Amino acid sequence: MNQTARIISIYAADTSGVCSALYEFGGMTVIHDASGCNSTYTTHDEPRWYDKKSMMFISGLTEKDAVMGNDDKFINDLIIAANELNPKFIALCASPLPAMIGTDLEAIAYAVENETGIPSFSVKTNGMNSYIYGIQNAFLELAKRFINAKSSSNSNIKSNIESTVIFDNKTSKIKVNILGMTPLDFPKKEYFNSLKSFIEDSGMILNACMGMETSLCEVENLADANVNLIVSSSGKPLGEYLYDKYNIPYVKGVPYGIGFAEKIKESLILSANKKTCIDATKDLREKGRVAILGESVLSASLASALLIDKGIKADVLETVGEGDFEILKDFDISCDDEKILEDTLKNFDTIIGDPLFKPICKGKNFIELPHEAFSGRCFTKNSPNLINTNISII
Amino acid sequence: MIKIAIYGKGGIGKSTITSNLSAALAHLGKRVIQIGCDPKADSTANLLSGNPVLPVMNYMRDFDKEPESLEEISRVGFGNVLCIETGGPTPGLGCAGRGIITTFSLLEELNLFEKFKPDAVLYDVLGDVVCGGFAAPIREGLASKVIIVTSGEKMALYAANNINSAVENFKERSYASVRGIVFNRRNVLNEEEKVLEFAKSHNLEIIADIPRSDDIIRFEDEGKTVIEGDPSLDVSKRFLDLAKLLIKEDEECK
Repeated sequence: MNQTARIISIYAADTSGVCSALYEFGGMTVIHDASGCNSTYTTHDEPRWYDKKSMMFISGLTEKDAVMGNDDKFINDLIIAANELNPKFIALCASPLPAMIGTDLEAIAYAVENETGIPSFSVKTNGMNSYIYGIQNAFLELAKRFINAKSSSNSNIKSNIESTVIFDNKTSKIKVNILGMTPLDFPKKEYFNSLKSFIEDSGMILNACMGMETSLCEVENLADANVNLIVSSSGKPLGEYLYDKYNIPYVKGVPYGIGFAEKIKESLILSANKKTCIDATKDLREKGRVAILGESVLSASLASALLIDKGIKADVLETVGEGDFEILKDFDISCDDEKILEDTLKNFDTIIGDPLFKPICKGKNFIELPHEAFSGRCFTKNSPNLINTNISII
Repeated sequence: MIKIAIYGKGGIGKSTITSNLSAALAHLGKRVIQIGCDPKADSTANLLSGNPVLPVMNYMRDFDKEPESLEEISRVGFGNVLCIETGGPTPGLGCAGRGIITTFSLLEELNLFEKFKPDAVLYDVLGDVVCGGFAAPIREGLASKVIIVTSGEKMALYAANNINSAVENFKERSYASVRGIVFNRRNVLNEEEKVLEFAKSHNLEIIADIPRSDDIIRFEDEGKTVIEGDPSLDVSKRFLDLAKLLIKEDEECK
């Protein structure tokens, strides 16, 4: 059987991704699903659940509602909840059941917005894609709905491509958006703090973060940035949208280690000045006997950081995502099949990955790098912060 | 863009009307896509001279995978009309409505409209709006207008009434609205009075009146529409007039 996981865990689903992405923006996020099914998200995928309040709901879909097409009941519940809670927006996403029967969440959102006046939208999910797909779509929908283009500096509008601003990192400060940051990839607040410090210590300004330690105001101001830093695949479609629509270029990479963090800094300055998009890992990767398992942007960044700081050559085995070969190199592999992964891993001496990959890495030197989207909170406390610091895991 | 979903009772002549309308639009120089949304997968037969297109659901069943290109699930017919059929699951099993939704998602993923850049898209939909799948063609972004095909027969008018009510119920969702009725004559007793009465009581316009015609049957036997067979026939002119009306309305919207 292809694409099955008999031994290892599976990644958080797209619905968890939507909730994670929208957690801090003051909206009401509703998964259209049977009652009880949101516990997967709250118990496994959301470290903020007990510290920070957010309006995350499940619709309580029943078999009868599904068979009878009782969309009106859902619409009424949404209207009642919205009038009571007054969220800044309403986001709807589908679990497998409504996706299967083709519930038109876009139309339901339209009806709810007409009735309540609260901006409402649906986020494309089916409960069967990975968290990345959910976050990508959630960020994109939110940005399309809330970016305040009028507040953006006009030099960013696509039609006005020629920018006269030269950022020398002293006289003009570069405004940076972080795109693709959620606890599913960055489970601790200290990661955000480190990234913010890295940007500020580099002489730049953090304009907005999508989406940790953030608010809806930051979404509104997204177009004010000079450059975007895409720190995971989850931020990629939003980065492309901001480039296409507002001419804000992006740099892909997480500033892991010391040397690679410096490379990211240089790339951000170059990108802001030249208005070009940069893969910071380009030319900083070599095929090796070390395999890094996980999401492509984080893993490729770690591989580059290991090469620069320690001279270690590492391949990326993208175990979640769509095969992003813009950042993956031709010797990297995208693989969501346990058996193929197990066989591929035999070619490596050292494996870096979430501890739940360990059972298929027998006899190998295994270095634990917990990934919240794969193992939930099981190993969060052991998750090392590698941002702009010496890498000590290997 | 002209975006029409054509509904009506099973066997009332939806596929005949749709393919003749597609052919008429093509005859007038428009780039047309016709999507048959019926498990029978016979909507586009008269545009393809007897060389049917492989329906999307059949492709997925036969190859156990999704098609990767539009070419695998479409054929170009008369007047360069791009013909697509959703097809359906194994008879008696699965879910036909879901099949339509799957097909539409797939066509979106394959960037059908961006690649083909049509002037008109016609959805020929199975009988009645029986479930969510069969309402999919009238969702936001797909068809913007519904045409109901009916004769003066009691059950055809009954189905027409159901379809009109269903579309009316979707008004709050920004779905398509009913543009009017295509009166497909069967020459039953008091047919004209019955259809006129139905149209009046539902405040609907009869936008085309298609006579019962042996020419339609004759050319269908040859795998053709009457537009392809002989555009100068009176019945062909009725389809051309409908096409011109839709083109004019579309241009007025721009």
